[in-house]
Amino acid sequence: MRVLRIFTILVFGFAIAIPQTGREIMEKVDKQNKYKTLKAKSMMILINKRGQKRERTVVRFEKDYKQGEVDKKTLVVFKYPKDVRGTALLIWSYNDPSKDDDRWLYLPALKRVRRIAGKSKSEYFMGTDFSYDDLSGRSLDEDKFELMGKETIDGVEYFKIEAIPLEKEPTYSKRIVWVLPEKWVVKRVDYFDKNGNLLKRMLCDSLKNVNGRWVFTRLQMNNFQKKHKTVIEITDINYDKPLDDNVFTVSMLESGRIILLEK
Amino acid sequence: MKKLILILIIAVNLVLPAEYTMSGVLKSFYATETGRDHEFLIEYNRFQLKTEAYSENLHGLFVVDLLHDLINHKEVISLREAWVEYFGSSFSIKLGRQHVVWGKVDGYFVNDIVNPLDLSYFLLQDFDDIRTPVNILKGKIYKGNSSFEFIAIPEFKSSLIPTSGKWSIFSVQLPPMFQNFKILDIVPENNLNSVGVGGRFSAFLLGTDLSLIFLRKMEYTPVMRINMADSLIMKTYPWFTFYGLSFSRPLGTLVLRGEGGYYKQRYFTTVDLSPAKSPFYQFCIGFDYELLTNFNISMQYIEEGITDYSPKIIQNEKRRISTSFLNYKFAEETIKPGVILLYNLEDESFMSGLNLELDMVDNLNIVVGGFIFNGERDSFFGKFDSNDNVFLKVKYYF
Repeated sequence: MRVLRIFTILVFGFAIAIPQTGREIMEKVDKQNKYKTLKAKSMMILINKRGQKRERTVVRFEKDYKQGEVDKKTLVVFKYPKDVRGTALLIWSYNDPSKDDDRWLYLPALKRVRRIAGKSKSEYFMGTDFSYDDLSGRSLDEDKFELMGKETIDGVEYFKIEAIPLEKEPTYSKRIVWVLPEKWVVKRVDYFDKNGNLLKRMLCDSLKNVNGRWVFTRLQMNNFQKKHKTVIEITDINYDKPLDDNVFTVSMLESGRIILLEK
Repeated sequence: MKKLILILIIAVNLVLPAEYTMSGVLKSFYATETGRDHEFLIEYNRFQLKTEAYSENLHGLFVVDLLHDLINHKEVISLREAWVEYFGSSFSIKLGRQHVVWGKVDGYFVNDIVNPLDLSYFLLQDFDDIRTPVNILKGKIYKGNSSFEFIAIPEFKSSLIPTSGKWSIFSVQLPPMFQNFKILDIVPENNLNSVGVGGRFSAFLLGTDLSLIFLRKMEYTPVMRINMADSLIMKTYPWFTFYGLSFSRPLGTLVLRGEGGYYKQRYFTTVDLSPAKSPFYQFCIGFDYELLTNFNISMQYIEEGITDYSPKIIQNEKRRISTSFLNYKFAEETIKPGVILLYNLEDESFMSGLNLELDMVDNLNIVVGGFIFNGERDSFFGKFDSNDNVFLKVKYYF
């Protein structure tokens, strides 16, 4: 009887711990990836169909608010090359899925902050293969998740989940996400255009443990329709270091001082 | 002025133990008329060396500018920007030669009136080159999504408005009786009495960026006055008080933006050079819209008018301009064609341009294109009717 009880706890207890639905898996990913603040320095390599490469260095700051109206504030600052140095994008994302992001772009050549639409028609950001929507991220309530099963890539088994956007005019018709079990990180994302054709694929490599969090430090976004790709190599990443709220304001963008934030 | 530069040098020296960077840009701008003579209308090279120093709470910037302008026969070395900023967690103080950008309008200046303008080549130069930095003390206080900015402008510098040559914006036709009068430019002295002041309150309210502006300073464009007793025609720079506001707000894939300003009393040049003053207003409303992926359109309606108009005033009672900008980005934003149209609805004159911006190599920006001006000889854009041109603009960043 005692053996049966232990067996029951092991089997059913394990079943309770393992997520069963696409939503539960994505909640695990979200929880694993939870942080109060993030500061990451990355090198972007833009590769066109002729194989020509261009480099960009960007610093990304994020602050998670969760409580209240604002979900997350993100600031992306270009450090290199010199002709775009100081260009910065500020995004405020909201907990209410029906509310569009607020976005501002600082252009150092004009010394001016421009308000840009929070709902863009998948415009790509500064020549990369990442759209403005990709940069601002999505909250879990913005998609309906369906577990499609498991799939093995290079001998490793991943959960395969379909994410269907709930908004009326989405940037992508759907995404298929591959999640590495136990470490709960996204290995691959396929993005489909409005006609349901494969538009681009993000593949992640170089898994590292940073301050107790698993993170892929090399991302490759391959745009099949444009025959262009963007490789991101995260060279420096810091979690939960204090970041003042003033960093994520239009006043800070206007000051042009954002270029010093990394210091 | 020399004292101020000395203070700035000392201040930046305080910063220097920290880190500093050097960068710069080399700009060349050439435009030739499309008429029979193919005469150069714009021909200059500009070299700007930028030194930036920063430590924990200090930020300093020097921009040395070397200009070689073959049309206006200028070879000038100047300190274009030179400022030091101290910043705390909720405030900043910035002193020195700087830009203050308060406008949201493209291609026109409604609220962007803190700095004088260099209109040597009308509106064809980059806005960064049109807006001329002056010495300003700027303080800013931040609180959440709001900020208050205070400025004091201790340096007077007039705008550069050509009155002769191919890009002459206006020339006053003096009545015959004044032909022998001497012209005296009464440039205000830089003292405490001539310090301009202003403030801007900015806030983010209900998804809208809002700004309220107050400014009291002297005109940067001269107003002509007659002094019969001394047989003088005086170029004066009267004081004005300005109240302005601006906003921008997204509506789906569209961004609405606008700004407006009201001058309580503004002085104007009259045909007989007698004094004339009247309230004056300006406003602009426009939108930015993404028609298709990477294909954007911006349109604006601008209106300005003299409310208590006297027929003696040389400036027209009203000016209404519509602007349209179309641009497309392809090949990962390395090729950017664009179309621009500025149309004066009052006199039906227009300025239209077509350009192709190439960013094929990092740090090198090339723009080729052309501008067409059309309208009656004395109309707003028609006065440049013979200045139809093709141009080449090259910028190298290092």
